[in-house]
Amino acid sequence: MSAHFIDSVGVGRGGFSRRRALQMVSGAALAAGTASFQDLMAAQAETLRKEGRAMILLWMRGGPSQFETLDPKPGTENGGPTEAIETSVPGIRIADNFPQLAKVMDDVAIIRSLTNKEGSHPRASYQMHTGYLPAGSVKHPSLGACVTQQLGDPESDLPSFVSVGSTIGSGFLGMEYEPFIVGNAGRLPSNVALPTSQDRFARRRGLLSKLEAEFADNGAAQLVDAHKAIYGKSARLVLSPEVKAFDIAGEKQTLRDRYGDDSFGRGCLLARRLVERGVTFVEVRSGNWDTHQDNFEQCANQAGVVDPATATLIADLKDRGMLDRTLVVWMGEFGRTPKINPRNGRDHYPRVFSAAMAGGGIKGGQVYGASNANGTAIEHSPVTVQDLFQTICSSMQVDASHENISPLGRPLKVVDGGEVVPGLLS
Amino acid sequence: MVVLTQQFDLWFHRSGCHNLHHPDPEACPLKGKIMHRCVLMTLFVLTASAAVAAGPSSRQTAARVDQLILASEESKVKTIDDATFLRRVSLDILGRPATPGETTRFGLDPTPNKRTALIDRLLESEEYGETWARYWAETILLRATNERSGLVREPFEQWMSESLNDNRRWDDIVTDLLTASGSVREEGSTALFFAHEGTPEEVAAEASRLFLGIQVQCANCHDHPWDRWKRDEFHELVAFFPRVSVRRDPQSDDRRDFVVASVNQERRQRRGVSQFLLTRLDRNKDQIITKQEAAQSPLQRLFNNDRIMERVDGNSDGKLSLEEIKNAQPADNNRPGRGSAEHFMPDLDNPASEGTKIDPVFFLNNRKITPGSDDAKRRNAAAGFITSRSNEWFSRSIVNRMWTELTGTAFYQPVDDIGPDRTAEHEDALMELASAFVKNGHDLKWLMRTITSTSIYQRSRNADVAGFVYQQPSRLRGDQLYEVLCQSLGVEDLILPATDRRRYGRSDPGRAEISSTFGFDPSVPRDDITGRIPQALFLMNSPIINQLIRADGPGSPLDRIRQTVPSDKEAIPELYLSLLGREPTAGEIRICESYLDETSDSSEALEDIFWALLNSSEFQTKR
Repeated sequence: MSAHFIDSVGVGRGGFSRRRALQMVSGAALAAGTASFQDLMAAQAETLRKEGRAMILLWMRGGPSQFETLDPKPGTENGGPTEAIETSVPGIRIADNFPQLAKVMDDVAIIRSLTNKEGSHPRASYQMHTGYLPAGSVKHPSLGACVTQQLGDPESDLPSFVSVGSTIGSGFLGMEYEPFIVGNAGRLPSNVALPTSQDRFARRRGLLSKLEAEFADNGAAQLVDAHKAIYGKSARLVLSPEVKAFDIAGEKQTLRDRYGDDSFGRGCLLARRLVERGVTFVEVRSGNWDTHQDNFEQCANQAGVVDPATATLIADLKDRGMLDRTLVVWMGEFGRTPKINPRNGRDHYPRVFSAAMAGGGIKGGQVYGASNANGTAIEHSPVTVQDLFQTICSSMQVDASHENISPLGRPLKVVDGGEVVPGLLS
Repeated sequence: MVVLTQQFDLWFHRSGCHNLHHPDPEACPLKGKIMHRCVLMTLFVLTASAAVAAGPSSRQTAARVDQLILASEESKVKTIDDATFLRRVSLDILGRPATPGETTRFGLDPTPNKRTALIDRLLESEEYGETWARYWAETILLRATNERSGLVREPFEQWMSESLNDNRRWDDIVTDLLTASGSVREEGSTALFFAHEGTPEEVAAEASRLFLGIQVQCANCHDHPWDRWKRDEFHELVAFFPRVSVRRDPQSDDRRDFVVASVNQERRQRRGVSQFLLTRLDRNKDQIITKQEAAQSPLQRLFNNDRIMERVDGNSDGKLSLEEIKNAQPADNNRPGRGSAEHFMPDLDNPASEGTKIDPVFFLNNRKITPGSDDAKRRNAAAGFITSRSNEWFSRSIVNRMWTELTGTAFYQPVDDIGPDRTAEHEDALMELASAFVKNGHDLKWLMRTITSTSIYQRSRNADVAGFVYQQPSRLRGDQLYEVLCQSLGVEDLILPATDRRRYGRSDPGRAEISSTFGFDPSVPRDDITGRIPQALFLMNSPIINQLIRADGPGSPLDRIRQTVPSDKEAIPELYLSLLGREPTAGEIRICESYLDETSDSSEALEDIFWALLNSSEFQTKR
């Protein structure tokens, strides 16, 4: 029953083109209200894609300390030596590790009251990527896959979901929504460059397609069709002028310097270039923020890379008029303990942590929620993982209640529960 | 003599002469010749048949299964030729294609029962255990919820490979997986527990899914919406597994050493503090315990540990209210790997509460064990119930899984979602196989031999027909594809730069890389697996492949082929044989020859043909 359902609504792995669906749905059907939910979603997705809605996830791997980033507590025992600095928004102070981010605070909303229970890296990373806890019986799709499913352009030359560094994939949504992994930001990904001339590549593909036709005639038509689709897509990527997006050499040196000539900085610049060319979801990873020892030194080092890249990304998107339709989310899997341990480190602390959001309709220049004076608990307005995901979906105009059908026929919402955090979206 | 003759017929029957080409043993031209030797051998055969389990032979069961299936199918099956059979059965049993030499030798072998003899020979190869161990590693570990599960892969593959090559009984192998303990990097049988950090819900769910094909875990949070399983039944299964801990090895300095062990005693601090103790300690009855009050009690530990104190002492007043103590006792479900004396089913309305204590009951037969039993007793009981001869789902599940993997068609699909609420196709044939498998002592090699001996297995693929005999070429597992690639490119191992450093100490990075690019969960129906862009990019563009297919490299596969053939045109069939394990069709020869004619540089043309075959959909499939 489930297989049939998936086929009929076209969210399965059959390479269904929403653009085609839109052409098939007549205006009359829409007007008469006889179009199915999927048709309506397809219609909506098309409009949104024209607006080029996209998300960039800046993933702080290891769990960044909220005290040394967005929620400093100077002058308290738990706060340690970290100072707070003024930002462009009077009254909002962040850790002195982030002077550049402080300058673009007008566009940034900080959440200081995230709260969760998972204190193990793999489980919390999985949860903060998918909205679900890991389970052996079902591999949940990551938010990137779900967003791509609803907004991605299947006709695009570039993959709709790109990650700089490996990440949680599309789970049961299948290969179609798997992230395209870039190992080394700033250069062409491996195996994208042709080893031969374009002419010879064309000759080879011509020969291949003739031979494939023979195989198809011998009873493998379905297989050959699927193979052809993937090869078509891959060849389009290889031959597309858009693929230059992966190579940042063409960017002005001054801008490259502002992002920073390191893997995270190049990743952020790459993210902007990809979003500019219609890519829907890009994840850029930084880390390690797992500062069990020498927390203050390590955080300062990480921030030295992450601060300029993040701030430049936000400013750059804004300069190009892309910020309104591009949501930037800065987060990690959990926060760190208020108490400083004997090795001058901080340990895992999911109970209170922070995240930042900018663009995509987020009302900048505000702080949502608060931790208490010594940072051990939420003072007010707790935000759960589901609340955060609902807010992201709302910003992206992604249907969070859309149910994907697991291979066993179980409907799973993009986000199960939670509410949009009030006031974050303008 | 009558007895002897009958024995002869039986032996003759088993030795495979009664094959597809000779449905009537009398028509077999070799029968007379063999007869003389046979009388001498009869005594040996008598002894041998007494030694093996009393179940029906592979040949008998295969014939019966064919009969049951084909009698009710509209379409007739056509048997594949020797080369296709050899490639198929080599990929299936050994995980690699036959070499061109093997293909030629097999084709020229005039022995009429050569297919049966080949199956027996392949099953004796060590490669059989190695490849199927990798199959099981993927099946178990691709669903792992423990991100470090890669640590147990190699020990598991080694243990599983030895178990399969020794042809240990399937029920014994599963029992080991369910009752394992010890160091994870030494005891491969700890794989299932390590894959899920010993989390009892996951282990129970996976044990049921993998070994019974029943997905009972949907009842974790609510009664199953359309299956019969109740929430209690799932948690009663979970209650067989709570007393297992998976922790860093305290004896080792290596952070990658983990131990799976039994936890039979409740550690007091775990379940928290008894109300009795609290009442006694709270001398002034103000509902608050101070450091002084806690002195010399088990609670003293809390006050002496800053990290715990920070978590427990919500208002940071240095004292603990009874409320704070109660709140600080997290539900066990959130603490994987610790182990717990009992399993508590969470109260969904009040997730912070302890939940209801559940005692073990096996959901398929409602058998109980003594409440409070120790870990060994619980896990042995679970293994006993799961692998019992009287548990039909245990045999049905493995038979259906192997049948599906080998024949490309399934009694139940997906292979890990069967059970009493699903309908099987050709259930009579499945039952025949399953009961003969049990009678043969859960003999996996017997099962493999039986399935590969059926005419369904040996049928030629035919995607034009409807029904059970329909078959498309099926996609190779990453592991098989790696072997096909190595052989086609004439290398022992593909040296590839690993893109993921987290593959803890794999000694075969090339295989690991191909498995991660091309691999998939073998339990997922093959039709649901689609290709993806990085796979195509790798085969089309990767520098190493384009280097190895060059014609000018001395000793390259293409160079070697050209040394042996008088003209470039004659290299074409050699390329087909080497890459696809078959001769080209007339149409394919025409296409390739005209490509050679059109291309000015014949080395380039041959490289392009090599490239096209390597990138063809057939290359990645089993015909």
